[in-house]
Amino acid sequence: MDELLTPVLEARGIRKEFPGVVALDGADLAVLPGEVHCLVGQNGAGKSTLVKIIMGAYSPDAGQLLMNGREVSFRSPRDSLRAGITCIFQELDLVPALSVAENLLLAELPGRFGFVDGSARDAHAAELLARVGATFSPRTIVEELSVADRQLVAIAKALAVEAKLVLMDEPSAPLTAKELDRLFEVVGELKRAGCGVVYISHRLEELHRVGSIATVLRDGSVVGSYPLPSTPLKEIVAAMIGGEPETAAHRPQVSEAGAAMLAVDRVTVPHACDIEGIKVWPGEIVGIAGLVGSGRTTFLRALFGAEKADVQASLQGVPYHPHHPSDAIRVGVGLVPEDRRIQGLMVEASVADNLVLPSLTRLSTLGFVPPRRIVAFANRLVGALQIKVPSLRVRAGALSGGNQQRVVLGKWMGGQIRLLLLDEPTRGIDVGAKAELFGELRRIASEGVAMLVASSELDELLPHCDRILVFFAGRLVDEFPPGEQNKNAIVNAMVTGQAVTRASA
Amino acid sequence: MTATQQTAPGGAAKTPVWRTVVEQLLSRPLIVIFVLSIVIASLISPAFLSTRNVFNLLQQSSIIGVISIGMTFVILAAGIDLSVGSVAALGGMVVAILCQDQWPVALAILVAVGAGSLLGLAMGSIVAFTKVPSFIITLGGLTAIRGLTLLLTDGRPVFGVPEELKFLGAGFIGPVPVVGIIFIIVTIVAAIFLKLTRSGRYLYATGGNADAARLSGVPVTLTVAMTFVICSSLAAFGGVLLTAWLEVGQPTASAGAELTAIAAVVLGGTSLFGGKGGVFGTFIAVILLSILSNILNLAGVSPYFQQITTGLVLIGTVLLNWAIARRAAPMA
Repeated sequence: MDELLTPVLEARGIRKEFPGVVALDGADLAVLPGEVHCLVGQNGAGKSTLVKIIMGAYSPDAGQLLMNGREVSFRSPRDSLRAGITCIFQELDLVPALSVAENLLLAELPGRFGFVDGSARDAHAAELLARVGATFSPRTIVEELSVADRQLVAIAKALAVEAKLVLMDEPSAPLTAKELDRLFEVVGELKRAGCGVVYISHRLEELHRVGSIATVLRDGSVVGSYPLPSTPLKEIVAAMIGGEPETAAHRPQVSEAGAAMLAVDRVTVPHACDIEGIKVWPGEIVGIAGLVGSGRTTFLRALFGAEKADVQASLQGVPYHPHHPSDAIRVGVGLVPEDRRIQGLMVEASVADNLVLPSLTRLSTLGFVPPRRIVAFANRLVGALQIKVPSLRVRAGALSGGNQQRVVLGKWMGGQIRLLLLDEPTRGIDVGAKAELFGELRRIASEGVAMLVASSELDELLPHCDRILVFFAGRLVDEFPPGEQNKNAIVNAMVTGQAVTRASA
Repeated sequence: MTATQQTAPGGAAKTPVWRTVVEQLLSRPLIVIFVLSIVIASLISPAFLSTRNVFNLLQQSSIIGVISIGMTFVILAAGIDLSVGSVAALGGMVVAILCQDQWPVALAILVAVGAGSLLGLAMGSIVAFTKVPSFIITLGGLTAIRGLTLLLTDGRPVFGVPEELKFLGAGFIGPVPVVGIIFIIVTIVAAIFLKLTRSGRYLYATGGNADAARLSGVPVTLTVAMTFVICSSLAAFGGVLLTAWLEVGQPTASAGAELTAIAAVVLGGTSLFGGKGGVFGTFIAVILLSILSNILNLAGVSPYFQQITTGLVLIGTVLLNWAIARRAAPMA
């Protein structure tokens, strides 16, 4: 580290306790100007808590915060904002009904006598937008922008207030590959402006693209800091989980004898996807790769009866045309949806209530569901899936990401599940839990369940799937059987929509 | 399997029911305020706890109580029904008119409640299918149904309520008012429905997270529509009871009942965002509201001041609920 530079922000020996948990225990962090400091660690390692302390949302129980060498104490996010710290989260702090320019200059709209000088405002806003490479007009209403464009607005806002430190918590999660490139360029712009950046992401491969240095947190303490891009990813992952990652489970031979579990003739959703000719055999895990917007999610939802769609398919030879999720559930089809907290769980309801929901029909007698039956049923699932809960009555929203996903998975394990559809099952789950989750899926598959797993993380699909299908612009463009799963070829198909030149396509 | 059951969280299931009840009570400030108000009332007037006064309170609470139980269903599914006052008036008028026309009382009640169900079905279907906020649809219902009610008799009240109907509204079995018994039965049946039936669990799931519920196979549209049918049916039934009690069908009756009912449901701890709460809290809250006005009457306080007090108690209790919820769920 350069001795001459004073860190923009330094955290020394930060400690924070919540009832029953020590979230941070003596965490140190120093962010230099013009540095992109990546903060990595499993869920619950303390990343978010540290960021919330830096921005003043929490106050630390012990430790100091220094900005440019002087001690500071923030009582609220307003204080940190005034000191030059800007946060860019997934839920952005923008007013959707106002224009981009109004959002950018909300705090100090130019004008006189209480009237806003509209043209001065728009001109200034246009300047800021140009710096982040945005192509939309400052008069656009924020509501009409894509998530990626909204992020640009948020970053431009950081430039507007001449932020000294920008905190980014999973900014890349909702972005497509192209949008990601632009985000990284803008991060570069922040760097050049001498701004310090704290960057949190679950996608570790991003570290090498943006990071100057990575600090690894584990169980509330700093394990170490690693210069980037010279440190190999494997070393960082090992530091995160405190050991070598679990290797992929071995794949059993899938027999293609007998009827396919799922045979899709054609699934059409107007303006979203038109997929033909997919077969999945019992015990098989089939991955669906594709960019955002390739129709992965719509296809899975259509197969589950959750979209207005024309589904021509059969399950073990029996025609299957679901019009409502209940039609799918009745014949043993389950969906683990993309956004766990919005679509998968009732976060305010108990673990037991969540687990039994799809099975209530089977558990009821003449419309009545005895509580004893619910408890026994939920207990069995908690045991079978090794969900770590203090009690069945605990709020689902209070569990860790990995355990929440186990609950969503568990919902489908109570009945005669035959086909499981999973959409981005590992999103927001830490590295260790990801490997465990795929291990669990493999175990479930080995009992004869067929699975379709959609993911934007090819690196996850490759080691765990038997076959990989590639979707592009709502169509199935290529299929990679075992032994032919060349990463470059798959990525090429994902991006161009062109099948690899082989005997057939 | 046996080993798991001994160690696993299943232990919770073996907690006796009475302990669960006690825990639930303590976590709700409503109960504390309820008990406190009873103590204060009996200090102000020893007559307060007399059998007669207690049953009197029950009688006063029951009609708005029945309406509030219905409102609880809608709010649990994250909706709101502003039309209950108008629907109650319609129910009360229909039963009065049919009785005047010499219809059998039971049939007249059935038709009145059925009219409520149909209106609920209409409003509920619109809300469930279009997802237009129920606030707007039922606000339209409030106005339109009141107009319909006034149209029935050109705004004139209907007299001549038969004895059997009077018994329902003003009668007693021993010392116990019949409406009170009805209120208690409605509450118990509603509680059983909500807690023990599949449809009840679906209702909580829909209110808690409609997206997740749908993806778990819950018939969300049907469930939402059902809550409005239940609410309007109970509102119409409440109107029937009011006619029976007053011995007259008044087309202007129950104006503003929706606000009292919503207040009672919220006071009873049901979340306006849906998915949390129940009819037991509503029951207590309705009685509490009656006790408050009873205390203030006994103390000779002006009715204007009574309104102020009721409003403040509502705000205070909800704030207490909020404070407790905040403490119980720290951000982590």
